[in-house]
Amino acid sequence: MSKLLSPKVLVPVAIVVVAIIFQAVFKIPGVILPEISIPAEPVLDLFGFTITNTLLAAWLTMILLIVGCWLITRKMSMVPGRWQAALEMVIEGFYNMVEGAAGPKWTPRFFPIVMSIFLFVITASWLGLTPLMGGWGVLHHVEAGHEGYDVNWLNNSHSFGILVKGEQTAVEGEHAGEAEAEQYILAPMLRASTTDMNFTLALAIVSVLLTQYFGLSSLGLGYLSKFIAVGGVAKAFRQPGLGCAGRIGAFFLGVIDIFIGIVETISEFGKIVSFSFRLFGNIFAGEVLLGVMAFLIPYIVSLPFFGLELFVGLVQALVFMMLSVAFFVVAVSGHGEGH
Amino acid sequence: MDPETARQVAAALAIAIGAIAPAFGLGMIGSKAMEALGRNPEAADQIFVPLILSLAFTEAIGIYALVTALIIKFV
Repeated sequence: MSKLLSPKVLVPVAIVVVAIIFQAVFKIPGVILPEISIPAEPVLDLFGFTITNTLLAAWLTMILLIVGCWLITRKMSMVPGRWQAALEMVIEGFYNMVEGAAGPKWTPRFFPIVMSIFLFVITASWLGLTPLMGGWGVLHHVEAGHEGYDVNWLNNSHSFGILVKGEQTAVEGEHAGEAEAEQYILAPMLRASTTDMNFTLALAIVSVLLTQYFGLSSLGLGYLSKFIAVGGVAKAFRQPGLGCAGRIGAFFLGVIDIFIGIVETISEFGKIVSFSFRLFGNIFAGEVLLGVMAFLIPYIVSLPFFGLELFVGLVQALVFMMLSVAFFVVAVSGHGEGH
Repeated sequence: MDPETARQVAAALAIAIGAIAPAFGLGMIGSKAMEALGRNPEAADQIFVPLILSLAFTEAIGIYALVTALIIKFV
């Protein structure tokens, strides 16, 4: 019983009670269901370029990472300060993990790129969970046939406002068009950049191209024999001391090799698809889940899902990183005789 | 069934059916990993990375279904 009355339990309960009372007294408007759109919404027009909200968030992520790392490593010392120690611990832990998968020879070459991918993805995903994202942006009139919300204007010139959940009123007759024009939806100014297919696709292409680069730089042109596997057929004709039947058998084995090479080539493109869909699907579904949960039962119920999304962001960044490492290792270690 | 209803049903079915097989797969991977840990607790570090990788590959199938459902629903 005394455990239940400890401050650890009482404080959250008190916050919940206060929140419910606050809600009852001040009649805070309900949470609206955010507009769910798979493509990123364009929010700015910069010198003729359309800037989408996910692009802005990606820039913010980069600035955060660069400034953060600069601040932490500005005064490096042998006896690290608190921040430097934390960063060193993270980097060292991941270095050991990559070394376990890639071995001491290749880790120094793989580690910078995969760690950058990890930091970029995890910062981008976690930024999407901060209050910076999603809640504010550009108000649009809804297109015909879509549902929108009323706007509670904060100033007289009607340039700032809050979307409110109004009663669903069926509009009929001659006023239909008029009333629809008063409905708005919000295009968020910032949206987690991993919820944009373009972002994840770019990362996936970088990772797969680097796989080819590492394979080529490790095995030379021999790496391509994985995809254009004519070695077996050539061997069937050239190798001395094979009988007629032996040549035919070797020839068919060579043909099978060629088909395996084609499958390998296709699977490289499959990697791009699975990399990008996995990251996009997880983080986007998380955002939708949080939005829908907050809409169904406001304020409290979405909190556990928030924790889940933190975990999903970490796991997906880790998965992207470790899969890259695994593919790099397969590419550099060659096949057949080299191993 | 009018097209809008058909879309809703198709999206729901896509994720509902598509999630069955990955769910079995994830459960199988998890249970086997636990089994391996039970037999040999010291191997936890070596099991971790292959575990995460195989979970990711299996989960990707479910994510394909999810993306399909999202595309049916919202595009």
